[in-house]
Amino acid sequence: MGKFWAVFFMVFAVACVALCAVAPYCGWWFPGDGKAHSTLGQKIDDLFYLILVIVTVTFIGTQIAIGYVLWRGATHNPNEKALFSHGSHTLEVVWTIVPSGVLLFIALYQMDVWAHYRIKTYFPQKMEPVAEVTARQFEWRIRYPARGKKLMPTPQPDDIYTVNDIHVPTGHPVAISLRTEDVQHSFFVPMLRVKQDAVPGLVIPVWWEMTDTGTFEVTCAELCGWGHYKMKAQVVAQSEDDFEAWKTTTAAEQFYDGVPRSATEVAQRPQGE
Amino acid sequence: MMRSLRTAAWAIVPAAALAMCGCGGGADATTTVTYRPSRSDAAVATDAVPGAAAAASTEVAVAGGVGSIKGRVLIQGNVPPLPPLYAKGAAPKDPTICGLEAAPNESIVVNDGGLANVFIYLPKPPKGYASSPVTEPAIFDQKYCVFKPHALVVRTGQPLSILNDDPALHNTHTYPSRNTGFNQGIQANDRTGVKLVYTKPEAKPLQVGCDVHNWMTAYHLPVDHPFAVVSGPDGSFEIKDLPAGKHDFKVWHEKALELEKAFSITVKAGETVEIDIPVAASKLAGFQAAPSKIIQLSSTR
Amino acid sequence: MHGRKFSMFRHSASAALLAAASLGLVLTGSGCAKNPEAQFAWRDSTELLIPDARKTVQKTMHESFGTPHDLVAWARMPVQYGGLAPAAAATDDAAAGDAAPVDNGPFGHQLQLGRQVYMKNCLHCHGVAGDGAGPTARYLNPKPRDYRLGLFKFTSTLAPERITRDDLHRVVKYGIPGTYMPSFLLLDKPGTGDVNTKAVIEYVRWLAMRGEMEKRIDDELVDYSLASIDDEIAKAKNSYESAKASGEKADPPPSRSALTRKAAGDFKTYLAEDYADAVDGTADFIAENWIRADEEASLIVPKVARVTDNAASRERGRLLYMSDKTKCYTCHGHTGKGNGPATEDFWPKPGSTEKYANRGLHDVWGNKLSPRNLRQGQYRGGRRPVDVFRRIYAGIKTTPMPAFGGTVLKDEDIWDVVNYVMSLPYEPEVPSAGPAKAPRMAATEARQ
Repeated sequence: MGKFWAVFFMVFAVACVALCAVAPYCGWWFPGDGKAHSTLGQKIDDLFYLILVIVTVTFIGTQIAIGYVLWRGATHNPNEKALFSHGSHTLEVVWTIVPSGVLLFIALYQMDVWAHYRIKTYFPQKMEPVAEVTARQFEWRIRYPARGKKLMPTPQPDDIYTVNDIHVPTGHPVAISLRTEDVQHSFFVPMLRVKQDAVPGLVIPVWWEMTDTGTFEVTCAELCGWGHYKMKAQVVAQSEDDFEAWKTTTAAEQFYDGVPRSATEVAQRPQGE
Repeated sequence: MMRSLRTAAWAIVPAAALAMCGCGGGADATTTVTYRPSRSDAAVATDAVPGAAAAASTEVAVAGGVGSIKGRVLIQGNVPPLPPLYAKGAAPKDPTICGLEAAPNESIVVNDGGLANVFIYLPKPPKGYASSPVTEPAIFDQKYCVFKPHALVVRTGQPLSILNDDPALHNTHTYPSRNTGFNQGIQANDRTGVKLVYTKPEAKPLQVGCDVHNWMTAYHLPVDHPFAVVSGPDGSFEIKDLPAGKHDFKVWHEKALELEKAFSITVKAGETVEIDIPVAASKLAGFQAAPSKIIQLSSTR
Repeated sequence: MHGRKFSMFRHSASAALLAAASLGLVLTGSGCAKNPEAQFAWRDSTELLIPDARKTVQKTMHESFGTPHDLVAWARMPVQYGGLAPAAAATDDAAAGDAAPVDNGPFGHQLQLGRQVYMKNCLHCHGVAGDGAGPTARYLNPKPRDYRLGLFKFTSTLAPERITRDDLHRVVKYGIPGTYMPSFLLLDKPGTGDVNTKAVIEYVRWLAMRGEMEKRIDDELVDYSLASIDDEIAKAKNSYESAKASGEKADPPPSRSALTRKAAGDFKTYLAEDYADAVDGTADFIAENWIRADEEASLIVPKVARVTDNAASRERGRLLYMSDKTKCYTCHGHTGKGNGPATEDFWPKPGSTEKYANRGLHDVWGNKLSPRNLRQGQYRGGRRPVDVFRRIYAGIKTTPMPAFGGTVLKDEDIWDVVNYVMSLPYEPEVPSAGPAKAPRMAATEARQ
């Protein structure tokens, strides 16, 4: 009977490890292609993998130990007297010191990444934000300065507006000003490893540096109400030239006065909205 | 014993899986789409029959001769005259334009015991009656921030010219139930007018308002036949050239809404029927039944 | 012996526990799978009809539009149901409905997809029947749109016309700022041809046609409603009592059952003689209106390009705004904050002898409505100059905002007003009562 339980519990441990091993091949891994698309995101991923290795080693080790003990207990001779051990100082010291050391190492090692994000690199130093992203129930509204201008804290007549569509240039660090109109929201771009709460009354700078161009999903990671799931948006990373061209066409569309344009102008407009 | 325990342990796994796939599905429920032709053959067939019948019965109606109705809408009881909505010079808005005259309260107008602005009309044209279209425009004017006239019958398809005799904007906002709503600014001192055409007859007069001056109201009744009138200042009315026979008129006043659902008058060929329509003064108290309560038991609307 | 008994008990107890746990899981699962069946709620005016009339209307609606599970694609309605119609009727319906783009899917696939998208994303505010009474609607202000009048506010069409597919597309894509209507920009993956968006727009149009059909038929049958019987009894009672009070002889009010019987009898005649024609005419009216909306002639195209947005134009716009010619300020206020004197008045309630109980303006659904605060820089119908132009040109349907285009203002004048109004969010608030004071202009003249 004891053997059954030993096997029963080991099955779960083995299944866990197997599941984790095949997970990346089933798409149960980081969103998208599994890579971070920002410089800081890659550092965060490195941290993740480091911790994953530590945890895996620990998990497998402890499970083997448990399995061994269970099996031993199940197959022991009923006439054999159990070994009673208590108060091994050496052991106590070892399994206190070793995990503490590991944890301390992680705590110190990760500080560098945190500092990069919040202290060392661009924050709280002012970066020129490319856009103001305002969360509201249940969408993201984005305000850009006109081409060649700086983002002002208050709306300007020539600002460019989009909704759920955040365009940014690649090749250098970019920042956005994050605000909310109503409740708390959380700006989360999984593929960039960027996550920041938007807090009523605060304008919070968020920065990242794209490593490549592409379209990345934005979600709201706060449980911000019954329409939470609707706050889907996208970050579109473009080359500097494409970004400026996009701004021009968007501004043209926004200041459209409804009068049919001449043929040349029509030809210059982007294909499809 | 052992076996039962093991079975139970393994049973958890499929049970959990079953529980998980049980959720959701409302939006993805399977639906069917059934094609329905634009017009069923039966409908086409019945369409053809009344047309033919109408053509035939027009002659019958004409053959039966025509008669007229003449009379007054008489108030029974005492209705004190209403004070004007505001006195001269005391308009709550635009006193220099609207305040040039006092605005009469036209919701109840009684002269010599006769009630004005009562609509007397046939809800639909007499059987087989084919009316000729009216092209001459009807006039709907605004002066000193009062609609003129207050109550107006207009034919479907007949152009209605909306004028403005005030040096300020008015907007004419209609609230029809069968026609398309109309809400158009009418230029100050517009004497050419903005055209409004009702395409469908209404079952009852519709309210017309102005969103600049909240006291301005009027009533329009679009009909597709000539047998609809508004009682004059002393309550008198006359309807001519009615086909002989029994007719059920609707009688409607803005304060009482429907006064008579079916006021029957029998018309004899070549004669004028003299008839008065009595209206109890108590009916003009703006009385309306409390709306019936509906209890919705469904939470799936 | 004793020990064995105890362990047996322990085993059976844990077995029972496990069994109970799995049973619980199964029950929870099946509990949430069993959603109540979705159904199209009837209008109050339908529920209030006398039984015969109500059943007739419900039968007509079922035949013409079906239920949320068994949709009926009526070829008379200009809806792109998707796929090819059954061959037998194809020739007959080529003219009716819309010239739908030919595709090879099964008939009705677009309507089905639209329903699916609607049920996932729209239903909880707009309701199954598009009546704006979904479960979350009660928490929202402004209220979600009730499609069942066939009327929408923000259109690019002339004053009497309906909304176009393109307008609905814009609203779904970009949302309505200042309301709870969010943007569904990513309902479709970019570059996939907006399949879901197009489908849900057809479904919404279909719901609007369905709702309008029911409303218009109810209006035809108003004489056969319990409300009208109640009204008649109340009126008869009222006049009987006042006659008795003044000592006159009068007939006692008729009984409810007698009136109901009479109404049922009248309805039988109506059903035999007029009902089919009324339904037919109503369907035609609705179909024609929706077809006309998407025609090019219904679109408002400014005759002149936007007047250059400079200080002179804004000043002209301001003078118009403040003038008796437009009277913009009566609703939108002297400073453009949407607090004009009209918001302090009591307004008549159309179709009744009364006024609204609360101050301020109302829309056709009877919801209280604030004139737009023009200083917020929030444009519900879109922030393109042409959007604001169209709001002034054709008014905002269902609201007191009238149409100015063609009658009161020339296109150039409208552009001046647009320039003034769109400059307001960036101007300091100057309480300019009359034309004397010049508005202060921002330094951003360079635009366009």
